[in-house]
Amino acid sequence: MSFLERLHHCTISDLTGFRPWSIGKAQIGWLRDDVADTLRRYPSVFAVGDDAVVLQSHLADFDHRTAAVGEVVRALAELGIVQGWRNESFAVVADYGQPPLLRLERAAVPVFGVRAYGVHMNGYVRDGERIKLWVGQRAPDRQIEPGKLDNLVAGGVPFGLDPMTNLVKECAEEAGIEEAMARRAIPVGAMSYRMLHQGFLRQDTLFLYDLELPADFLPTNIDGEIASFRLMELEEVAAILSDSEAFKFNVAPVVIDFLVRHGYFKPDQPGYADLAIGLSAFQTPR
Amino acid sequence: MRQFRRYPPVDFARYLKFIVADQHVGWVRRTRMDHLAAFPKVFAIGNDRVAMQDGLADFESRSAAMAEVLAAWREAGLVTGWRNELFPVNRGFGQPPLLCMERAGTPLFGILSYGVNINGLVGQGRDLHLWIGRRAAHKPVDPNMLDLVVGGGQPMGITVWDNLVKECWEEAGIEAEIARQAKPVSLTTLTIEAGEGLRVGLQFNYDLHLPADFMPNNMDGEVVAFQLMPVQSLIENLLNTDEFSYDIALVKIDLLIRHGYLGPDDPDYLDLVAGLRRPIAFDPL
Repeated sequence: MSFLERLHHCTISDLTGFRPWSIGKAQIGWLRDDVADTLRRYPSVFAVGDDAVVLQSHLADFDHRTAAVGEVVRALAELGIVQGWRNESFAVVADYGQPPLLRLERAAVPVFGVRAYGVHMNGYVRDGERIKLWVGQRAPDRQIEPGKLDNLVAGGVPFGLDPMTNLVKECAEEAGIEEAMARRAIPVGAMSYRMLHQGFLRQDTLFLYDLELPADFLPTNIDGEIASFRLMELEEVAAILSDSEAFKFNVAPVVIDFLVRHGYFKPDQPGYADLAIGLSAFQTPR
Repeated sequence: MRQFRRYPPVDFARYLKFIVADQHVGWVRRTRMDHLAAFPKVFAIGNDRVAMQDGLADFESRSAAMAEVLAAWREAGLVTGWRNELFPVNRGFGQPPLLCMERAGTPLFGILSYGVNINGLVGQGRDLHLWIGRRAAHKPVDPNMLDLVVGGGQPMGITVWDNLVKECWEEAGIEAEIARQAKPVSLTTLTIEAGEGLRVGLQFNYDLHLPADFMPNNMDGEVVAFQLMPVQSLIENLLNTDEFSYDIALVKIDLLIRHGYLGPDDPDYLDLVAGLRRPIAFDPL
């Protein structure tokens, strides 16, 4: 698979079988038709139409919306529709930077097809002119993509944290990086995508960071989410990307972006422009 | 977001698609219809399109026909800023060109043109400074505006890398040995309406860290002055003025994002990131 195909691997444009759902005028997410129809059981919370679903307008503030939707989510969990309860909630917003409309249990985020925000950090080491990238392997018991290759640090942004604060927390939990070092990470861009995953529509926006680490740094996973780490030459990273699906689906574009920004690919190579523009498919926030 | 508001979205209804060998490769203003119709052996005009005649079946015959049209338009004052530089016409960088044409004619046909840009950097972190040039008053495009230390169009018959080394010397007196330390870091695109037509551009951007005692020295008369601008002044300039030409403003916003001077705490962050690399508006093959 080419790098470009690897990028398009995680996009979807055909939304047949999904219905938009809104709070007031703001479209918040996409519901699979069978999930939308299940929501007809909760008419005091959702007004379900054949083409669209709207949150009932009497749920007029954050607390009411959170409580009412939370009850529905618990019911959906009992029905087996919401799986893998995380006891962690995400903010639901109409657009990045706007006040949250409600908070939602993380396990329900894909079921309701709402946009989730995350942070991904490329941890790298300079060796003269060469750059090496720290790559983690996800633990075999992870719910999503067990055993796949991952960024040194990555995680969803939970309710109430800004991206940088969350990054510092994840740096400690996932790689044993101390706060003073974690704060040296610099934001380098963002990616957004919409894809089918385990039958649901995932809409994620990832804030990307680079952190240059000292040559003698060794990551230590604290939370058990990463089984092992390796410091890889960029040639090896590129070969894995083009020859296998070993990288987690949404980490592949993050790493391709890293390779582009650090000059691994050259404009005179065939396909460079298509690849670099291809990344823009992941840069449309809405 | 000021920079992205400088040009309103393009109203493509004002344009005919420019078709060569059944491929959509550009856009021509409808107001040029009469000028196109004067060359019936070259152009076939339809409702929403103007195509090069099928009889012009290869690179040479198409290039010759286009050269004839542009020479006549130049005579009539429709093409200004003649450059004597041939640009390829295709749908994507590196694809075999369907024809080539004088650079000054590319906006009249809304042709995708390629360029190479260098961010000249001194220092890092809060002490980062950028070498900025001011374009000469006689430049055909964006005279007097602020520019990169080095930037140039990507003509036919030279690799991006060789062109970069050549432009580094001509525009800033940067020796090849230093120029070759430049790193390709990003690509930016633009589609904007300019007086002469539609400017469709794809730019290969490089970062080049220069020694603290380096002084740029323009050789070709295209840049009148250089200044070493602190990164904070660059941010102020982009927020408050339109002194940078638009394509260069994009390159600078891209730099500020890649180097972390703009981050997720900026409420416009996602829109800024999304504005840098919009796909080129050609019909799919």
